[in-house]
Formats: sequence, structure tokens, C-alpha cells
Amino acid sequence: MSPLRLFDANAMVGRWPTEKLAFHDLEGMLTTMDRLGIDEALVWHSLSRFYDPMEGNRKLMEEIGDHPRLHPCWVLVPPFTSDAGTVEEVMADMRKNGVRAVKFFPREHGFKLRSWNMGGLLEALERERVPVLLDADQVDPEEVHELCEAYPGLPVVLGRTGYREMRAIYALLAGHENFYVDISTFLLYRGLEEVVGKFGAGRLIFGTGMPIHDPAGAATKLRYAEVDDEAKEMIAHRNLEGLLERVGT
Amino acid sequence: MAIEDKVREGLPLDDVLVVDAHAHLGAYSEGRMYIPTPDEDTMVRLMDRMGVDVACISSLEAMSDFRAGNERTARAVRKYPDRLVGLAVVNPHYPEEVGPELERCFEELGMKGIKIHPTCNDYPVDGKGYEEVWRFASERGTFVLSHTWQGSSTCGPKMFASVAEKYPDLPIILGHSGGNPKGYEEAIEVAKDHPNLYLDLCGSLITGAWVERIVEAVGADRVLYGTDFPFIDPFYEFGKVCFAGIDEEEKKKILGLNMAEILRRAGWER
Repeated sequence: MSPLRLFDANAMVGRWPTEKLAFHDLEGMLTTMDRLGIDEALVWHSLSRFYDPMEGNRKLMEEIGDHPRLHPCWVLVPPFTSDAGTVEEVMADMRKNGVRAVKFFPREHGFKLRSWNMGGLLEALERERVPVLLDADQVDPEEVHELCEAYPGLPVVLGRTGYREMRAIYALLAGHENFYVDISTFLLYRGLEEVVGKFGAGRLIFGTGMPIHDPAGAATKLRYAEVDDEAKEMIAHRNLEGLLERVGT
Repeated sequence: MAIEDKVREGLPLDDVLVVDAHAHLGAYSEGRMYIPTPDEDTMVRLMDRMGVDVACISSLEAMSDFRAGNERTARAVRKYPDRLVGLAVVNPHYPEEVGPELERCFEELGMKGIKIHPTCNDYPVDGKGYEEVWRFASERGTFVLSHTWQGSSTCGPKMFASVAEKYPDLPIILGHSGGNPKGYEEAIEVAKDHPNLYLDLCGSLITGAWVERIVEAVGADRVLYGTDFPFIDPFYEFGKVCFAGIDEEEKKKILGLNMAEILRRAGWER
């Protein structure tokens, strides 16, 4: 088999407030990607989480520019406060900057990922089919269920799933075709294999969570997984590429 | 072929001795947490995939019923005597049974080491209920692997200092090396003062960057590869060690040579 082409759905640039991570700049990220054989990555900026979402998005664009291997993932907040911009402005900005995926930190940023709190932003993202990337420590399974149910055209990708809440994760996979799991910390023993068997390889997306998590973990898991080459290709890059290609169509 | 080159291609490390110092067996405490196919046949098949020669296992059932769990461990080891090493588990809340159960595990069930989990038993590692564990292990010339977690009132890394001092010849493995970044720092500090403390690298939060820092601080001779599997998936931990920014000889020590020496001193040979 030729080398697996890896497209990371979950990479971060910038410093982390509570720990010195393996890298914080693009040079470190690209060196790591080369070493692990990761071809491309969707990248968000730590400033968007820990300082100011809009400033972090701006900084992200400044840093990655039009790098051919790195693609921007913006962090958004509801459009009610004056720092956020209107839904129309945000969507236009995203189109202008080639942003095809977004991330929310509802717990960290103090809002609920529900229609009443999102001011039409979720409807706009659903219309444009923009994938929403979430971390399991920012939303509980009930919120993810309600989000997937209320917006069936919105691809929802959940990361930081760990290994303890699988009874809920499996229910989300069974109940919502627009729900996907990023494997960066999908640490359930033989979980990848079982999900492929039960729900198909189309529901898993390669992500590393780097540098918060060690990208060698997910890359090694996928390479050694007991699934066929077709399933590996889908998880490694095709599923994410498919979601990104559908944005705005 | 270098270790990381092999792993990048998904090949087994068939020319490197690999010993998983921290593995389990079976469902987690009667199904509390879902684990698919946590049986010994599947485990050995996955070990083959990575090129893991030996895994030191303790049944997760032993967390709730140590006698039944130890018997479960022994059955698996009997099936794969060259691939699995059994670790005995006891419960400090039954202090009168600790000595007899360890005796049974080593004499009748063929165990070679001891695993304790102060958090699961909600009992401090330096408490009276564990005294027989340390005494038995020391007299027997074996080793003790303990769960550790920074911030825990039962097994923070610093709590092992008094035991390590009292039994300076007993190898004590700090499972998870304290479990989180503050724990890694604490485990490093306590290990620096006590040469019989070993640090195992299994844990969802550890990264290659921490592997490098730990090796730099205490030396590769006292760092051990472990995965916690099937409690969690083993391939993530395997990749982190194989891709860590340390040299090839250090990786070989961590992946297998160090634990093989601890097992040899405990009387285990393939």
C-alpha cells in the first residue's frame, strides 16, 4: 500500500496557557507533520480560545496566509455581542478568506449551542454546509444530540471524545448521519474498528489534536488499525475532503 | 530500519524487544465503561500487530473482586505463557486477606508482580492496608506497579517517597507517571531522590514532549513503556513512545529492556 495520505482535522497553533507544548508556531507544526507523514491540516489559533475569538482568527490568517498545506478553521461566537459581527458579515468574511470549517467553545466562551443563543448563525452554517468542529469537554452529549437533530444538514465533528462516554457517542452515531467523530483522542480500545463495522468508515475523521495531544497517537492508531485500506483512506483524508468540498455548494 | 520509520509504515517492531509494563484484561468493573472484546486472544493479536513481545496484565475484574479477578488473569497467562505475565491484585480494605492472597497468587497462580490501584480502592498508598504488599514484595524480590495521579489523596507521586525509602531495593513503578503535567513534574522530582522508583508512560495525556523531558530528567534506564490496554487503545501510546525525540538506544530501553530486567529479577523468563 502506498503511504497513507493524512489530512488532520484538528491542529492548533499558538501558545497554551497552562503548559509548554511540543510547539507553538508554524515551523514546529510543519516539522512535526513532516516527521509523522501528515500532509495537510485544518488549523485554529489558541488566541481564539483563550484571548479573543476574532483576534485569534485574524492572527491565524496572518500566520498561515495561503500556505498550501494549512487551512484555516475559525472560532466563532453568537452574533449578539459587539465583538462578533453580524451573521452576514461573518459568513462573508469566511468566504473571502477561504474558511471552510469552524469551531465553537461554548463552555469556555459562555454560551449555549442552541438556536435561541446563536442568532441565525447555525442556520447560515447549515445552509453553506460548513462543518462545525467541537470538543467533548465543551458540550455534553445532550447538546450534541439536539444540535444534530435541529440542523440535519450541518456536519458536526466531535473531538476529545476520550474513552468513557462511549455509550452516548455510539447513540449519537446511530441517531444522526451528520455526526462524525474526530479520532484524535478516540481512545476506546478497538473503537475505531468497531465504529467502522457498525456505522461505516464514513463517520470517522482523522485528527490529531496537536500539539495539545501527541499527533503520533492518532497517526499510529490509524496506520495499525484492523480495518481495510479503503476504510483507512476514508478516515485519513477522504471524509474530511468531502465535507470541505461541499461547503457553499 | 529505525523504530519510527517502521511505525510510520505500520510494521511490527519484530527486531526490538517490546514489553508492555502496564496492561490489563477484561471489562472494566462489570461493564461500567464499555470496552469491546477485551479478551486475551484479541490482546495477543494486537500485540503481534505492533511487535509487542510480552505484556504484564492484571484483570480489571480484580478492581471489584480481587480473588475472581486474579483467577481470570491466571487463566489468560496459562493460555499465553510466553506472551503474558500475571500481576496480582489485592484490596487494602481486606488487610487480613492481603498476605494469603499474594501467597496464593505467587505459589498457585504463577503471578510474577503486584498491581495496586489506590484510587479504585479509595485507600492511601502509604496506609496500613498496603503494608503487607510492600513487605511481601520486598521479601519475594518482585516489583509493585501502582496507579498514580497528581492531586489524588490516595496516590499522588510524592506519597511514594516514604515507601521507596523504607524498601530501597524494591522496584516500584509509578503507573502513568502522575497522570498529568503537574504529576509528571512531581513524579520526576520524587524519582530523582529514589533510584528504585520507575516511571511508566501510559496515559491519555502524556505526549512525546513529556517523554523527552522525563528521560532527560531521570535517564532512560528508569522509564517504562506501558499502554493500559485494553482499558484504552494501545496504539496511541505505542506511537507516542516510538516517535518521541529520544535516541534509538533510549527507545529500546524504554520499550522493553528495562522492564525485561525487572521481570528477570522477579524470576520471570520466557
